Amino acid sequence: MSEAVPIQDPIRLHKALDAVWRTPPGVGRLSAVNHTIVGRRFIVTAFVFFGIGGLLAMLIRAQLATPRGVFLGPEIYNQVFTMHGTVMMFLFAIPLIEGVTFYLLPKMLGARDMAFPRLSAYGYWCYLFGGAILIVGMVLGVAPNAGWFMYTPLTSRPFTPGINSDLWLIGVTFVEISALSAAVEIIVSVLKLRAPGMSLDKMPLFAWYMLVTAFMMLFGFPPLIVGSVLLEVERAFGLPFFDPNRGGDPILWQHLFWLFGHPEVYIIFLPAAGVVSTILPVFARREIIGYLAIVVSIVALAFLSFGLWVHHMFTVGIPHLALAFFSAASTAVAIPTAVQIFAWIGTLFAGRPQLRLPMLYILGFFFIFVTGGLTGVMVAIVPFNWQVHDTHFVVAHLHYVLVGGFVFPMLAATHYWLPHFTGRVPRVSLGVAAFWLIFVGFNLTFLIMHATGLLGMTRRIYTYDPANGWEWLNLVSSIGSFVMAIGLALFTVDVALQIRFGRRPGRNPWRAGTLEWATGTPPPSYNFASIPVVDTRSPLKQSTGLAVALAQGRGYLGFVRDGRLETLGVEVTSGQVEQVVRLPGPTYLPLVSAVATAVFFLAVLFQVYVVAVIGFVATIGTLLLWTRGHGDHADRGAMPIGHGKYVPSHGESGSSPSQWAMWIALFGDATAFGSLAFGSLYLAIVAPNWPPPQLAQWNLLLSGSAAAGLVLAAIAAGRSVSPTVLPHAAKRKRWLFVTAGAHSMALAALVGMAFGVPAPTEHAYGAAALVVLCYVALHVALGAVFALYGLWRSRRGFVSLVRSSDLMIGRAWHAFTAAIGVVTLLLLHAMSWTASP
Amino acid sequence: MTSKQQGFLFMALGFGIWIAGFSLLYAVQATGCEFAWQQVRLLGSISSLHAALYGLFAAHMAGLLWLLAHCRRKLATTENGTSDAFLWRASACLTLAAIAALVWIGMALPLPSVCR
Amino acid sequence: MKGSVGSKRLGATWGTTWKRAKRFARAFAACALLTPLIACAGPLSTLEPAGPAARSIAALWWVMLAGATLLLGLVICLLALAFLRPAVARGVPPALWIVGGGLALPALVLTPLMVYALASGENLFQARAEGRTEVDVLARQWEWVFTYRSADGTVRRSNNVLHLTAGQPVLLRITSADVIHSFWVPRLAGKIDATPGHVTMLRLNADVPGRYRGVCAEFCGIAHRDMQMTVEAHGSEDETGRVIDGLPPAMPEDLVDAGGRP
Repeated sequence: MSEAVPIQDPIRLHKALDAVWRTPPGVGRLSAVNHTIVGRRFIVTAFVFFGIGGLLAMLIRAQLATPRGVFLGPEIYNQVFTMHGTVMMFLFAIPLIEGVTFYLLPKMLGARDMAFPRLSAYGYWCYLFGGAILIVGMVLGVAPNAGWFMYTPLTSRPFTPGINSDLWLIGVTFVEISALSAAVEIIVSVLKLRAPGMSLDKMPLFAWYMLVTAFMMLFGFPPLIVGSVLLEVERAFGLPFFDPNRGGDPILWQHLFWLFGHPEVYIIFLPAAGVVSTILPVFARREIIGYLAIVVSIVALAFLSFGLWVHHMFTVGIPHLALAFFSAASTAVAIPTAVQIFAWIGTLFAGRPQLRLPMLYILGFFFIFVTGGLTGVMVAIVPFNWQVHDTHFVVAHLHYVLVGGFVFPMLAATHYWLPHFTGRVPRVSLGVAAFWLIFVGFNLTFLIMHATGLLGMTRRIYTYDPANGWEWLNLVSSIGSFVMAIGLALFTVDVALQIRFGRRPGRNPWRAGTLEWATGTPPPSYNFASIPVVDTRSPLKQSTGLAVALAQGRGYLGFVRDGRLETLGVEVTSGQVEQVVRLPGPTYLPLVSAVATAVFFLAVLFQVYVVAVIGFVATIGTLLLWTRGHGDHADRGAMPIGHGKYVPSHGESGSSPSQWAMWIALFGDATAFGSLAFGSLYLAIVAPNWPPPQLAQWNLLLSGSAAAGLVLAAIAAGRSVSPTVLPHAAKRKRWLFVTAGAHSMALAALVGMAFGVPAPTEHAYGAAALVVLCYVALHVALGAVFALYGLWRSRRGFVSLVRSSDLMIGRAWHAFTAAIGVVTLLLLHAMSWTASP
Repeated sequence: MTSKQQGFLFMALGFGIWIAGFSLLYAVQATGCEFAWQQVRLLGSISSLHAALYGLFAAHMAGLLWLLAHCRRKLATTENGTSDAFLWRASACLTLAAIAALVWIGMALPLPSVCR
Repeated sequence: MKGSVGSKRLGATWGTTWKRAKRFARAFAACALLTPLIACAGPLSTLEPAGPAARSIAALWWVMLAGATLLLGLVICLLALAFLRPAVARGVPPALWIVGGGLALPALVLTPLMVYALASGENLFQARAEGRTEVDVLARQWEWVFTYRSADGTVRRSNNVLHLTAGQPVLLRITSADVIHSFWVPRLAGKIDATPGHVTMLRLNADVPGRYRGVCAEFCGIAHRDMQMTVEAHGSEDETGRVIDGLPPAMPEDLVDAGGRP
């Protein structure tokens, strides 16, 4: 072990840190895992997709500019509007949020990287490859063509026989891997990787916003992924989940889709609101008012947003009482939103506001977003919704919410943080002109589109008759959209000019208080030469010399130890320093795993299932390879971090980021399982053409063995980490063998049960039973892999009484698997009971 | 979860009860309509479906009221200005908000169109 | 004190009687930016209602438009003041912004709106059950099939034209034979989906005889736009009866059947 002596000379310290943190040049860039680089890649890629989505919007407006337009035919038009929505939602908004968060979060929290740098890199490649699948499909003319919410049965095989719907289901699911992995990573990073002393109440608000958003992603995306998998299984293998003739129900898709789709709106809005809460106080030149009220309102908003999904389904024919619940919940979100808006307004009054360019965009945000919020209350009112649902009124409303509530704050963010990315501020700015073009163009397009909708123009029609009174409205909308496009082009030119010709202003040009401005600009690979102690919400306001002191190595970890990448981990709430987190450096493994994943998804798309199995196994295999070279062979005890303090490494802390990640990932997994269980029960209770012609006769021996295997595996895994077993290699080995064996027994029993499922292609009953069984079987199989992995780590000497992380992670998985397995067995018996005539 | 992290956990609990109540109200309404519970009358004019919904509402409200009292007790015993006090205060506010939200959706309960 | 003064004024507006609110809303709408561009009339206009359901929703719209415009105006005025005359509200304590603007103001606006909306929605739902006559509607790619059962048991059909009598509510039982469609005659009532495997209900009532256009509102494939229909409201029951008697008989595939469960 090399000595951990703080390096006081900033240049020497920089060289020493950069040597271990930097990403190699040339082809080596493909091995980048650093959050600054990965975040930048997400941001740039997302803006490229924004350009593509914008071009598609131009095509739509060109087609609708005049009645009886002949520019695009209906088939192309259908592909264009479907892709416009899909690209903007899945390939622009969410990835941009991930990129901004990856880039900013560690810097704001006073950490040197995210908790799982390789996971962010893997997420990026999944996003890029998944997005590429969709774009290539579009270029080949087989893009999805049934609308971005993909309503069944229009998207089912009989009505969309081509590859179009499969492209959507597979491309989007591939991209969503990045959203789920980002959710886990953001949560763990906010909770564990902060500067010492930064208790939860001292966190910058942006971190609160992202913590809440990440939890929403964790619970919001699984229903969509489950729905997509079910629909793809129906399309590929004929299992009828959404076919009403065979006991499925098209309404189930709508529930699963909007269970995701409505929280999605707030997943997009909250980070943007976080940006506003960060930027606005800087230009108001005072701290934000109502910190506690804002934290409370974003948590409330997050929960409420999961109680709104049916307001997209007011015309489905659901009873009034149920609609009223959702209508009430939908209007209730106005309150936490209003709390934030008035906190911002109050901050402006209390400060001395300056109208700089980012602030101008925030004023644009206020006007547009408040308008969108008000029309949002209108569409939450059931009778009014019956009239405007599926009309251009809703199109106008959603653009007010998403462009106002997301794009404007992101444009503000671009101007605000561009000096951080590049170290440059603009000499001559076209920004104000660009703002007015975008703002006027946007309102010209969408304000009058409310009227178009009220006059009866429905969504997704490729042409219309001149007699309807919509000609002028549409023409003005189209002109407005082109004005907005010119504004965005000017914005791009402005940004390019600033990157190329801007002048270098030195640190912290806006005099902000948050820690990201304490790094150099552009930021060095390691962010902070040493890590600060934080005891205030605006550390840079409190001590102006902080940045220099950190560069001189006067904080924690102002050195390089063992040539490793180190940052600090803290206790979740108090922010007391707890562990040294040792992070991985650049590696090609994320790219390799993503390629293996791409093989899996492409094979599913082209229905070559042997290759798909190979791709899946290769993905799991390469993911396991990530652990090679990580962990210690012997207990090393507490390590010095400077200022006479000693803390253990994360592997010995008993509260390592990977353990947190597993627990949090299991919440997402539980949501997926819950969606599946909900879907099965929903079909059994509500779907037409039930009861099924034939019920399963479950063999009690099989279900008994499955239950016994599941429970035994969980108990044995629990024993393997008990304090009496953990120190002894032989005992550990024995219990881990029992775990693996019990999983094998459960797997065999579950497969046996799957063979007893009656005719899964003939009725949704069999289809649902089969899919739930497969879901558990997959967990059991992975459980066996986890147990064997634990054995291998144990044998190689990575496990001891204090270094139990590997086995603890496995134990969480085994316990979870046992829980969902037992619930599944009960569910299957309950379904037989509910479905019996 | 150590005792330190309790305040943080409780921030999610108030609205956790709300979302559970909300989902259950919707699930019981839909299931009840499917099995025609609204036609089974209890105590004069109240249908068994409506009774079940009111019961669910009351149970969740009781849970929330207990939670509010608990958060306030904890807040009173926590030193002011600490991060724990912040978390307990946030939990209390969120529980109060969850109570308001439950009352707000409860406005719909008396509607007669329970199954159409 | 800005926030609380504004909210009191607003509360008063919402609390006034229905007629005053409506007159106020109309007057406000006349000044709104939108008005010069909109002639509210149009064959598919929700703002030129021709039936009780559509009329009550149009009234709801005008009230909400007025309220929303006021609230938006309030926010814009506050923002303008914050930059131009920050002194007027510099002394307002943070708690007042949060409680007054964030909690009290929206609560005062939303409570009457929600109560009114629940009541008006409940009226529309109750009315659904009261159709004097029933017509079955089958949607399929890309046409509407209306079937009428006469007293003698014969079933007749019309494609893309629905015959009814003005002033006589008709109860529609709607379903789909293939994908999801949505039945919408904007001047008469809100829309309701036609979903395979389910039957939905809609009550349609036209004030005066005439032809009212309708469309499919839910995207249903390549010819979605062309899936249009007309409601013909006749002057008397006799006239409607005569027209229906002249229609061709329905085929078995035109009948509504929702597979066991409603």
